[in-house]
Amino acid sequence: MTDFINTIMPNFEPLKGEFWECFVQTLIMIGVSGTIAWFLGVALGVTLVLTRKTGITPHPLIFTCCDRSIDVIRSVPFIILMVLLIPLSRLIVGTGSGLAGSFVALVFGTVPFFARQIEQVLSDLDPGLVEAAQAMGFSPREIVFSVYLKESIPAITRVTMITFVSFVGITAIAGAIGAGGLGDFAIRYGYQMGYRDMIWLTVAVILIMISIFQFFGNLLIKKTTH
Amino acid sequence: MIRLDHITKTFTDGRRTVHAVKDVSLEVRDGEIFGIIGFSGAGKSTLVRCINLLERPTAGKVFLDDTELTALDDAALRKVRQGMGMIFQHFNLMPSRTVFENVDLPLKRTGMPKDQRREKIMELLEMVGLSDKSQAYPSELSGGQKQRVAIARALSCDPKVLLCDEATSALDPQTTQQILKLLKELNAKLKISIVVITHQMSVVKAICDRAAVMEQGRVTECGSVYDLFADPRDESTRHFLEMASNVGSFLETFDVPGSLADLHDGTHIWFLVYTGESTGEALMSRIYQLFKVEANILYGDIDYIKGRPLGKLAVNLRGDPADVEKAVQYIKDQGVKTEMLK
Ligand SMILES: Nc1ncnc2c1ncn2[C@@H]1O[C@H](COP(=O)(O)OP(=O)(O)O)[C@@H](O)[C@H]1O
Ligand SMILES: [Mg+2]
Repeated sequence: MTDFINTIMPNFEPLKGEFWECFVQTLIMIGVSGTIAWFLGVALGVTLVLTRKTGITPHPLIFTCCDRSIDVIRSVPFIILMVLLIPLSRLIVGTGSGLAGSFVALVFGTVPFFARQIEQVLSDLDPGLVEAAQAMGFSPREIVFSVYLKESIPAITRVTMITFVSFVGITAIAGAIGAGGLGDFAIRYGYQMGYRDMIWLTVAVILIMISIFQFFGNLLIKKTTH
Repeated sequence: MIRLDHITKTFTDGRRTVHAVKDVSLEVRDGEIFGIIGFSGAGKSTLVRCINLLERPTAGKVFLDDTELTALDDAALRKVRQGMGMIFQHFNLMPSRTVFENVDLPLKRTGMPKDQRREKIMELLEMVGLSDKSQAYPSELSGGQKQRVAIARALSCDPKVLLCDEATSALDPQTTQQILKLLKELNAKLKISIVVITHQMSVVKAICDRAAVMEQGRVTECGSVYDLFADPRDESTRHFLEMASNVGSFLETFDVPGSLADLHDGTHIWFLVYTGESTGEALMSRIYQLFKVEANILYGDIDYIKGRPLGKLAVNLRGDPADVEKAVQYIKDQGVKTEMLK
């Protein structure tokens, strides 16, 4: 087994420890920023749907603020956004670089895109369901949780999977501000040192990660669609 | 028990304003089935949504018993809504939940213990004839079954009122009859008031005690269903009733050359509406015996409104003009509503 790995990936043995470290960094980025971004994105998407003119609690000011901010942040390329957010990151997590310094940028880079998708998903829900819940005397909070979110689980899972792929993409870019991770590993060894086998390894690991995520996503969709 | 007092609802959207409901006052009594009928766009849905304040009226007051609903805040209103069930044209069942969970939805929030809820839900499903479907998902049910689930859900908090917005409009005629029968049974058994919104005349005829006719946001006529059909006082009510029944298609033949109604011999066509026990045929044979006036029946229809017959005839009366006049007077004397159409 070890012989086989050494044959197809001659550069793996000495870099094993570092590769493992980078892989864990990527997992931390995904776990921490991904989770935060998911909740913020859902919250923002829900806010948009509730406060828009036809929503159940219309509020033009809040709607316009959220709507505009999303558009503005979305139009800044991620690599520039990272630099732009360094001061904010220092304020929030105490540092603008390294693994911890990537969290703020990753969240800002994902939330607007994800919130738009959540907004779309919730808008696609049959308005009759909301009307029925209102007629039963549900409060706006109950409508959000028991109707909007509960009834959209398959669609939310679907857009989460879509967003996950582009999210993994930006975690690789975050390597540029010293966040480490598989992107950083691929640049250092695959690009600068020219180790083709390490590029292939990185690609394979990322593909497997995304596949596992999609496998569970599809399972959830299947279980919750009736 | 429900009283609408000068309700007006105006939608303003940008520069366009829509007067959906204009100054409507009406009362729904305890335990009755009240119909609101009118063409699509007449404002029926808006009006019924004003009853449970899903739509806040622009002006006017809504009373439930002695409570003025329009004066309540949102939290109090939500409590009141639990006592008012509502069902819809497209059922609006939660697709991710089973039949059982759908009916449980309003109950869960009341804080009733789980085993009591289970018992209650099974009772409700029994009542609407779906006890064997409790674990099915809405997508596995037919339209009629979905509406039954929706009815069970609407009744789960023991409401005093059931609001039905076009509840049978998406169903085939046979299923419509079954749902109407169910509503009638529930009305009798639970003594709840039912407000039925529909554009289908047959629905009003089949189950309503009283009804209001709506046109362009206004209630043009309101009263017992039988009177409404037998003797519509308002021009637009009559127009609506004609459009929505076979008489409408008969009247359309008036302008068609060569049709039965295309007369050129100076005789006239009379429209007779008779109620109760007298029958049209007997009447026609009597005027022949008495006045030698011949009646050529161009159109005839008998409706049964809540079991009482209501007959409509269009006849071409032929004979000596003086005799015809006497015959018409005789018909009128029998309590038959008479109108010369042509
Ligand atoms: N939320 C709304 N905003 C603007 N116009 C509306 C709204 N709801 C209903 N309307 C308008 O009010 C009128 C009455 O509609 P509706 O009450 O649905 O009639 P019906 O149920 O009798 O078909 C229509 O002209 C409709 O376009
Ligand atoms: Mg309607």
